[in-house]
Amino acid sequence: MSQPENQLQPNVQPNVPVSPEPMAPLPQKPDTLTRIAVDKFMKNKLAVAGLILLVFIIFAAIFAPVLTPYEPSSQQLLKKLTPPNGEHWLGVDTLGRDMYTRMLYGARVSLLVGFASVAASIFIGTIVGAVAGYYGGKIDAFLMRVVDVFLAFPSLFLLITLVTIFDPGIDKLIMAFALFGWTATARLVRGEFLSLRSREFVLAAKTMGVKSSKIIFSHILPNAMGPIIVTATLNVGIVILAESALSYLGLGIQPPTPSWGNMLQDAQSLTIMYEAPWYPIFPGLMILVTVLAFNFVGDGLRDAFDPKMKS
Amino acid sequence: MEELLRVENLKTYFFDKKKTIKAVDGVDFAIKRGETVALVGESGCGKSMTSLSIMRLVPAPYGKIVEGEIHLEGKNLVRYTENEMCKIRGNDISMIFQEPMTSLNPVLTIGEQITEVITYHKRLPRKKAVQQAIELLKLVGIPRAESIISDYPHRLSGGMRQRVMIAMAMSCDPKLLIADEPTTALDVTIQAQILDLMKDLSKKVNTSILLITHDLGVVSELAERVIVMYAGQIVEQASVDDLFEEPLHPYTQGLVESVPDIDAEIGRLNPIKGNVPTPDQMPEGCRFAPRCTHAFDRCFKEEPQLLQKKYGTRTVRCFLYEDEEKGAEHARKDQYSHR
Repeated sequence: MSQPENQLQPNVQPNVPVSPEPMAPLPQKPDTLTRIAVDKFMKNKLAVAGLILLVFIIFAAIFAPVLTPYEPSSQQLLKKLTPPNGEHWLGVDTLGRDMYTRMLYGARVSLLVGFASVAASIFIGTIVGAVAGYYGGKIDAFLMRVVDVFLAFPSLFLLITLVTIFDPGIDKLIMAFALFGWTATARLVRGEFLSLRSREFVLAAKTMGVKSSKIIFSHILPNAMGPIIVTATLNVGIVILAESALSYLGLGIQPPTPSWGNMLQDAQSLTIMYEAPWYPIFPGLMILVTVLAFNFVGDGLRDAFDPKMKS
Repeated sequence: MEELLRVENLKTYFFDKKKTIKAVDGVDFAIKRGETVALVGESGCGKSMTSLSIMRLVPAPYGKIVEGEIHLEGKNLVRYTENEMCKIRGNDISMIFQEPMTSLNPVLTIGEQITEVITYHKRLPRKKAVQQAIELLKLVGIPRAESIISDYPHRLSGGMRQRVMIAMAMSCDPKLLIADEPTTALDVTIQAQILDLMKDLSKKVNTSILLITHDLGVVSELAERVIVMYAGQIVEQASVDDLFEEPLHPYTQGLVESVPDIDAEIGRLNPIKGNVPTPDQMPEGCRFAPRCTHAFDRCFKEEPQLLQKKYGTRTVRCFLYEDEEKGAEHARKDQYSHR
C-alpha cells in the first residue's frame, strides 16, 4: 500500500497530543483529570499548608459568634488600649472593643468581598473571553478593545473616585472590584479559546450537530478550567489586599463594621504608635497570612493543572 | 438505487486580503443510497473542503461556498440556516476524522460525548441514552463497554477511539457517513478491522459512505465508485473495477502506477513528477498539464471539460478522449436529468 503523499489536509490539525495529563500505565483507581490534579496538588507542601490555613480562616469567619463571647461593636471604654492578655487575647482597641472579636468579624468582610467580587469578575470575564475567542473576527476585535479601554484606567484611582461618588459599602465595593477585575480573566479565557477552538474535537462536535453555545460552554470551557481556577484563586488574594488598602485609606468598609483594613487605619494615630505598638501587628499579620495562603494555593493549582509538570 | 446526495457545480473559495483561493472549483457528483464512494486525490486537491462544504462547516469567515447546490434527498443544504444544519449534522450526515487521538474531547467521558449526540437528535431521556450508548459501543466491538463509558478518551488506544468515533457517528443511523481518511493514523491490522466495521455498519442501516482518502488500497477494499480530484476539480469518475482496470486520466494512471504491486518484479516505482500547483499559481488550460506526460499544445491553452466515456458511467476530464465522445455537454446533462 502506498501513500501518494503524507501531508496533512488543510482542515486537519497537526498531530498534537491533546491529553493534558501524562498517559498513566493503567492505575487501579479511575484517574479522572480532577484526581490527577488533586494528586499533584497534595505533593506541594506549601500549597497544602496554604489550603489548611485558608480552611481555618474561613471556618473562623463563619463561626465567629461561637468563637468569641464579645460583640464586635460593644465597648468597654475603661479597658481601652489594654495590651493582649488572658481575657482579651489580642488586646482592646481605642474605643474599648475586643480586637480578637473584631478580627474574626473582619475576616467575614474581607473574605466576602474577596470571593464575591472574584466570582462576579470571573463570570463576566469568562463569558466575554469565551465569546471573543470562539467567534473571533470582528466580535473578538470589538470585545478586546473594550477590555483595552478598561485596562487603560488606573483602577485604584478609579475605585477611589467611584467609592467617593457613591457611599462606600460592601456591595459597592464588590461591584467596583468586579467591574475592574474581569478584564484579565477575559484576556486569559480568550487566549485559551483561540487555541482550543481549532482543535479537532471541536470540529468533530460540530459535525455531530452540537450547537455553538453548547460547544463553548460544555466542550471548550472545561478544557480551559485549569487556568481560570488558578487566576480566580490568585485574584481573591489580590482583591483582599486591595480592599484592605481602600479601607486603610478610609474609602472601603466604613466603621463600625470591622475590616482588617480599617483596623489598620485606626492604628495610624500617634497615641497608638506610642502607647500600643502591638495594635497594628495583628490585622497586618492577618492580611499578610491570608494573601500569602491564597498565593500558595494558586501556585499549587497552577502546577497541578499544568500538563508539563509531571508528578 | 435511489439518489441520496447530489452535489452540483460546488465552488468553495477562500478569501484572503489579496487573493482568492479556489479550494473546490466546480465539483459535480452524486451518491446513491447505500453506496460507498471514494474521493481520492493528493493533499490539497480539495477533498476535505468538499466534505466540509457538504457539512456546511467551511471555516468562516475566510472560507465560503460561493456557488453550487448540495441536495440531500432533494433538499438544498446550501440554503439551510445554521440551526437547521445542526439538526442535519450527526443525524442525517455525520463524519469521522483522520486523527482519532484528537477528535474526542479530552475532558469529557466517552459516555458523555456519545449520549450528548443521542439525547440531542433523538430526544431520549438520559438513562435510555446511556443504555443506547453502551449498545453502540458493543456494536462497534469495544470490550467492557459498561466501564469504558465512564472513562476518559486518553485511556483508549487509537483504534478504540476510532471505534468510539464511529459509534458516535452511527448513533443516529445517518443517511450519509463522511469518512475523512478514517484509517490513515492507524496501523495496518487495525485499519482492516475499522474498514470491515464500517462496511458492516453501512450495510446494516443502508448508510452511504463518502470515503475520503489517498490510499488506493483502502479504496479497493471499501468503495464501489471512485471520484478522482485534482486541484479542486474532478478529473475522473468510474467504478472501482474500471478505474483499476483501465485508468483513463493521465493523473489517475499516475496514481495507480505509483502503488507498488506485491507480485510484480519492478525496479523502481513510477511516481507522478512535480507537485500539485498552489491555488494562486493555477496553470492555464488543463491544471494537470505541467505534470502530464501526454500533454500537448492544446492542454496548456484550453481547459478540458468533463467527458462522458463509452459506458455512460465514467467521466474523464482530458482532451485525449475527446474523439471518442461527441457532445460532451449532452452527456453531462443526461447524467443529472434523472433524479
